[in-house]
Order: sequence, then structure tokens, then C-alpha cells
Amino acid sequence: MDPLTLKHFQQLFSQATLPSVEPETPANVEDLIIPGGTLDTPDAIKVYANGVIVRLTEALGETFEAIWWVCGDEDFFQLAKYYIQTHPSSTYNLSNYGEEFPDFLDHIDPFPDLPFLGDLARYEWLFKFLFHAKQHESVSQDSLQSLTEEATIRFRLGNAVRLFTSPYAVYDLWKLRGTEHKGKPPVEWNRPQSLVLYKKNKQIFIREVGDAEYGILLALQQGATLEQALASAVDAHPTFDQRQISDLFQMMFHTGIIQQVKIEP
Amino acid sequence: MNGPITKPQIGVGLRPTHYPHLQERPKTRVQWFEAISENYMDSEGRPIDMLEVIREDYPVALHGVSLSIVSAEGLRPNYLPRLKTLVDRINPFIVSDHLCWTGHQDANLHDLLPFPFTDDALRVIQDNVDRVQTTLGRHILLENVSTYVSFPQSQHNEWDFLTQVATTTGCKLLLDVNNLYVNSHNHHFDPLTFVNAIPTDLIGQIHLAGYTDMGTYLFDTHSKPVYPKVWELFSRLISRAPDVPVLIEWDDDIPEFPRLEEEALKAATIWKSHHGPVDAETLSTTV
Repeated sequence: MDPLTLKHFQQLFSQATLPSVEPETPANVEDLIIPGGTLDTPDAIKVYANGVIVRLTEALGETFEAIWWVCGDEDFFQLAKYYIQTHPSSTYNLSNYGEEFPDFLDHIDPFPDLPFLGDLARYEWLFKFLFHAKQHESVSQDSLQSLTEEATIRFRLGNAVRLFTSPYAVYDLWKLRGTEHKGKPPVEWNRPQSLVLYKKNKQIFIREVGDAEYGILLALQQGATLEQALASAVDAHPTFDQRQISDLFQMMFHTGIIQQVKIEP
Repeated sequence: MNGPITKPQIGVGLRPTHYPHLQERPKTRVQWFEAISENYMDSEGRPIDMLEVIREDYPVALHGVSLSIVSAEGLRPNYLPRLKTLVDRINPFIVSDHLCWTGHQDANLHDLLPFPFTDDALRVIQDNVDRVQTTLGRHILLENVSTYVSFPQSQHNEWDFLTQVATTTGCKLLLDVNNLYVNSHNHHFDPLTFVNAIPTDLIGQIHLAGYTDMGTYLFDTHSKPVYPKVWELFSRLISRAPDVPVLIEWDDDIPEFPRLEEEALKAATIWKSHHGPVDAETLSTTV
């Protein structure tokens, strides 16, 4: 028998083991392998085919712990299996699998009473990112001492800072993961929530902020000057006052989320 | 790890479950740690901080699971540069991965997949190993993997194929005795034939772990203590290769660190039975 080329072999083996909604076992698979132990050929292939599902499900479960908690074992494993069958992994790092899981959850039908699933998954993906993010160096409040009223100021948020907003209270949900619950999650999740996720001294912190504060931080993150960010916040939230601005500044420097202050005369 | 060997070189796998214990920098009874490369290649967070703490006190080996050295479509373009960055940062005494493929670049199966031992596969491996060793500027070690199928297309047996890979590329072998035993059971050969066929000067490291008996086959789960038959094979091997670093792997149902150390001490005791007395103090590493 002419030896199969490695390339052709790998195509056939993948075809037999890659998770798929409609798996296609190559017709000549019986000629391709000798099953190990006392396995028969289909069971020997299943050792590999099932292994892929198990590993990718574990990876999803590790990253999307709160989704698993909300859905329960049976529904989560079904969701994971369908995602795995329709989203092959293109990453070398197993723990980076699942980037499209939040969007997948947005479009999945079986959970109309859990409309927050996509956002909760998005939050968990962000949390994973932050876990591996390098701790930035924060600027101190002293860096503002040289400011003049005419100066144009831009703040750069640290690389270990992420902003997140949702029509649902995903942080409140996420905090409860791992606790016992039956039926719907035991928290009032149907309210908007805006968050700052950041690292300080290599620890991750999550802080809920108001809409105006979130708007200012988002504008600063997108490159607006401080003046522009404050002006648009006051336009959108006329009751946003001087004391709240002062509190926001206190928070920004206390949390260390500012990595750079650029002062342009 | 150079110079005359006066004591066994027994290490254990660095696993996140042991971070809280190890970050206190306790006195341990292991000589080195092995870290899974991919767990640190993409992290600037706690994992890499922990690895750097360990590296201050111990030699570290980097052991990958995703190099896919037997891939006919070649290596992933973004993998090697990241591995090199990690290698340059940690300065490990060993860099290793598995003699297998893991899937395709657009459909990774994240498994240590088998392949027929053919001349075509050997050529692919030679090209890929050359690229890796050139990029890293050092030799690598490749590990024999557990398999649950074999192939009528194979032109070589596993031990001859491993020997050819090592002798033609300059890489060394990471001989996993558990995998060797699992394969001997699953593919019906005498494990001693394998052990005796591998030239010891090609062996750069030994792995030990526990498998799970699934009834119809043995499954490499790394979830159990090392089995007696694997210890017997290890004893044969270490009697001929005293200076080879030995590692205990435990990846599922991971016990507390002291239990892992006990398993490492069993390996040290077997080493001692062949190569002379080693008291408890010489096995300890004060950090």
C-alpha cells in the first residue's frame, strides 16, 4: 500500500474527529486506523472526537463561569456543544477559545427570558482579558499641579482599564456565580449598569459608575479633551454638578486608572 | 543543571492550583519546576508573575502543548515568536513539546494527535524542528505521546521513529514512561523493547504520570499516582540514565503540593537504589 501523505492523512483524521453539527466520517476510515486496546474503530475515533468537545467545553466553562452558573449544567453543556460544533478553534491557546461566544449567545433562541446572557459573557471575556493584562503605571494627582485654565488636557486610561456598560446588571449577576440557585437568578438584573474594570497593585477591581461619569471616562478613552468630555456630559446630564465632577476626579486618581496626562498649552 | 550528578533531579509541574502554596516560597523537596508554555505566553498577569517568582528560586523547564511539530501545513506564524519571547524572558534549562500535531490552524483540535510513522512525516518533522531550533537558537526536546489508534501506513515502529527524529534533527527526547506504557498496552507491544531501544544519550528528560484504565483501553489522564508497572520501567531507564531530569505530571484531580512531593520522592528513592545514597537534606531545596 502506498503510504498516505501526512497532509492527506491529517485532512481525513480531522474530518473524522472535528466537532460538527453534521459529522462526515470518511468512507475509508476503516482502512486508515487500527483501533487501540480492544476498542472498535468508531469508538477509537470517538476517543479523539469526544476529547475535543470535553476540552473546549472546559475552556468555555472556565472563562464563562457565570454563564454556566445561570444556565445550569445541562443547558450550558448543550450551548457549549453547539457553539463548538459551529465555531472551530483558530487559536493555539485553549484558554483563548470563546471570543465569539458572547455574540453567539445574543443570537441563541432557547433563552428569551435571559436576555442578558450575551452581555454577561462579554463582561466575563473582558474580565479574562484584564486578568492577563500588564499592570500599568498610574500617574499621581500631583501631575495636575502645573495645570492652567487655558491648558488643553487629555487623559490616557491605563492599559489595564476597561469600561463596560449594559442595559442589564451583569456585575450583580456575576458576583453571585457559584452560589446555589434554582430557576431564575436571585438578583434584580433588569437595570442598566456601567462599570470600570481596572487593575491596581496587580489586583482586579470593579467599580460601578453613573451614566455621566461613564460618559466622561468613555470620551477620555476615545481621545477627547477633558473640556470636551465634561461639556458633553453636562449636555447629556444637566444635573451633573461640580461636586460630582470633583468626586469623579478623586476616583480617577484614587483608583490609578490614569496612565498619562497630556497637557497642551 | 550542569556538572557531575550527585543527586536525582526530580521536578514537578507548576500548576495554578499550587500558586497560593508556592507564592509563600516554602521549603520544598523538588529540584525544579516545569511550566506549560502556553499558560504564560499570552499573559502579563498573575501567571507570569508567579512563574518569575518560581524562576528566582528554581530551574524551570518550559513544556508546550501547541507547537504542532508534526503539522503538514507548517507551524503557526504567531506561535514561535511568542514562545521565543517567553524563552528569552524565563531562560529555561529545557524547552520541550510533543511529537504530535494538534489540528489545523483554522480548526485546532487542541489534542496531542497521532500520525503514521512514515518517511513523509519524518521529513515534515525535520523541517519544522529545524525552524524551531533556528528561531529559538537552542535544541528542543520532543515527547512521545499516548495514542488510542495506530496506522497500517506506518513504515517504522514508534521507538525507531523517535530515534530517527532525534538523530536527524539534533533534538532530544522527552521520554514519557507513562505514555510508553499506555501505548504498549493499547498497541500490544512489550514496553521493555521500547525502553531498551532508545539510546540513553538521546534522552533529555523523563516524564512520569498516572493513566486511567477505561476497560477497553488505557487513557492518559495525568489524574492518578504513577502505577507500579510504570515505576518498574522508570527504574530500568534511570539505571542507565542517572543524569536525566525527571518530572512528575499531575493535571487532573491534582492533590495538595505535599502529596505531589511524595510522588517525586518515590522517583528519588528509585534513583538512589541505582546510584547511591542521598539523604533527605540533599533532596531539599531551601528557597
